[in-house]
Amino acid sequence: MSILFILVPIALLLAGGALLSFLLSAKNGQYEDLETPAYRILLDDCKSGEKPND
Amino acid sequence: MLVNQKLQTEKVQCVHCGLAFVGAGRFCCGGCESVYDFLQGHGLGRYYDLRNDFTTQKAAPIRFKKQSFLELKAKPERELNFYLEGIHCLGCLWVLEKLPEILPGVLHARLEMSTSVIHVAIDERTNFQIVANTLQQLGYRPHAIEKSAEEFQRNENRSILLRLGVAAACTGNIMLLSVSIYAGASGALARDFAWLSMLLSLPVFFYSATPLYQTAFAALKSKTLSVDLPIVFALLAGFAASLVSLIRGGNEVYCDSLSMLVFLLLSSRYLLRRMQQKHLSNAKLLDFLDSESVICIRATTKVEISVSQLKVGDILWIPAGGVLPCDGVVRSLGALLDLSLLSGESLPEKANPGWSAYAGTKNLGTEFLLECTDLGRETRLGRILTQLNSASVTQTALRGFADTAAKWFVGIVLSLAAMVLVYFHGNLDEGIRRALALVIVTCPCVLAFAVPLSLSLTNKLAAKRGILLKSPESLEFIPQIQEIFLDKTGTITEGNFTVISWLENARYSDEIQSAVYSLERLSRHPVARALVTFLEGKVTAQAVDGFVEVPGLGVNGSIGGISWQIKKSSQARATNNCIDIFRAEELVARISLGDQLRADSKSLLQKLGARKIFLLSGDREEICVRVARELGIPEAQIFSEKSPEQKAAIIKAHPQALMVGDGANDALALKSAKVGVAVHGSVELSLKNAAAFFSRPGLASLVELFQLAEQNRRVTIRNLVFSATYNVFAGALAITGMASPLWAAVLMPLSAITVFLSTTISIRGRT
Repeated sequence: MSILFILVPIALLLAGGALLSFLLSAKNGQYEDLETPAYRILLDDCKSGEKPND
Repeated sequence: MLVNQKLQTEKVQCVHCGLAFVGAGRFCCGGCESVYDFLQGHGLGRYYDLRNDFTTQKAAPIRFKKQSFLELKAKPERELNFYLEGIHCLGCLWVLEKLPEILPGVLHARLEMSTSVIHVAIDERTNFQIVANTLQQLGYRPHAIEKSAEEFQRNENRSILLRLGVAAACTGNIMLLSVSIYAGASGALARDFAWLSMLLSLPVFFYSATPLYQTAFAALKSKTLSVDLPIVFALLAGFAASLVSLIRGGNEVYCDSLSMLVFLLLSSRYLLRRMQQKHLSNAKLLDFLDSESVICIRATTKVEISVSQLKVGDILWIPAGGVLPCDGVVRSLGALLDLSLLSGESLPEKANPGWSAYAGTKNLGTEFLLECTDLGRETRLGRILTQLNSASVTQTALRGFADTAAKWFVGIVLSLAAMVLVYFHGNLDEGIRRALALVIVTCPCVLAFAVPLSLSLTNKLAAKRGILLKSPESLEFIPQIQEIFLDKTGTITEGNFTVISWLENARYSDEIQSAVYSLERLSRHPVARALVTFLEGKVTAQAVDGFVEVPGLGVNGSIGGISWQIKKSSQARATNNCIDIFRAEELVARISLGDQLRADSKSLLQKLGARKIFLLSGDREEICVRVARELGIPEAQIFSEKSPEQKAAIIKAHPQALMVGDGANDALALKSAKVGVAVHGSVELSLKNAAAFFSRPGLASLVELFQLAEQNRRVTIRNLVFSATYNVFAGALAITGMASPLWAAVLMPLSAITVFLSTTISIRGRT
């Protein structure tokens, strides 16, 4: 059972890491627009006038 | 001899906007054509490929009046947000984010599609007037947004999201630790785990839950009961009891279910908030009348100035087709005013020098001079808008059923808990245990989140079908509504003039059509527009000599030496607008025009069942009576020739009514109605005053709205019945001491999850 005294803190550290990254991304505004990025990825990065590569 | 001629109905699709229209060519209007040319000219033709590949179209594009955005020229900022009207698909996103390539000086442009807001950053090579003009050329109507209001909302959202994240992380870990305790862990390990979950619940209690404490405290301060009150009570009592139990050496902690409760509450509130904000961006718009520029005559020269610079006594030059920016007195001949914004009258009125004219009316005649008498809030339109703002205070005073029920619920639970404590005054330990179990087990979760949840799910479903609701709460009132007031134009009828019959002398058939087209093309009168649309593509225009428009009467001119007169028929039948056409003084054709009933109006009205239907219109009595007769509405339920102020008064006399009307000219009445529904016009302005907006004209949306509201009511009632049953049983168990606080803490989230799942499934199930 003493393994728990190592495993539980590790689990908490992992959870803390996940929470930290969530807080950072939320402060960055990544959860404000949930619609556009899904469309933006469909667009090609070509200059206007150029045809996209097929 | 006059012969009835077949009407042309074949439609083609506009290359730019996809609107089906009758006529020749590839575009439905000049606006679409110029946007098409602009895009092709900048090498942005791929817009059309993208749009066709991913159709996410929300509504047909709206055509806008050109603005010059003078007030934006001197803005010192280098970054600005614009709200854009007319965003509807992926093509818009692509084109708008190419702005830095089109306009030198624009550093970056990011569009947020869900809110239609574009963020633009520029350097000193350009200014925001140029940016706004380019956006307008692209076919979107930009509105600059006040930064502060938006920033505030954004920060608020972020802070709730942060609290939610913390609650989720802590709750998840507490749950893992609790499983071992529930599974039977005992001794030192159980105690360590209990301490650890206590530790993990601290951020939930003292960071995530703070908004709950604030609302509960505010409710106490104003001496009312709120749903948050027993939740806060349970949180604090549960926290204190857990702490006491830990210190005494026990391991009875309730941190798991309490933090779960906080997490569920915060997430349902966050979702509801996001949903409400989606259509509420209108609060951030600058005043729409101020953003236009006008031409003013100062020392005999024409100067273009912004409306905000106008002064009383200025002489304005109003072009043909211009909208009046202020109230004033007409100072020259030629004015023909479209009063539909203020009176709903479908035909324009001739205004002679000396007449008063009001802001918001449109000049359909030729250019004229106007002396400004009232500005901004002092105008008739301004006074209506001010009245609207004060009316909004009374509207928020309305409270939904859930709120009233919650107050009773909270009162009963708290007094029962107090009674239990009094009853067990001899054995206070047992008393505290039972009272605590009671407060925890009887969670008002149905009231706290099931009601908002079903409302917001229904709201989402409605939005998918083109019904936008300002506040989901209005859904609660809709099933009880027994009186419906309908505006005629655009709701029951098509909303524009169409040719109903065309009688002509067959000998001159081609000649007549060509002459009517050539002459009416030069006029801006709605009847002329209807005739031009009707003949578009059938005949070609010819040169007209000596064209004269007599406001209120008709047009004259000669083609190839033959004189033509098109004028209002002297023996017009009351119900329609009749027009006589004279060729060299001889009557050769008679055309009647009218506003046709929508094909589905009658059948849809019947679906509204036993509800009382009223017709409320600014239009002439004969027209209203004819429409009402066709629909089977009794004469006693017709109100015709009413001004916006009179309409509002009628609605005020029927405070429980739903009203469907034009977003602009019925604004005041819509605001007074229990539920106001706007059709027409821009969503943004309509939702300022109405509770709902239909993006599809006609009555079909109204029937759907009633169905959705009814479904929401059924789900809500089922939730309430379930919750009442559960609370009575669980409460009885707690009071009799059969359920310990620990059991209460397990039962409560279970009941919450049951309600959550049943609500989601039954509302989703019908999509």
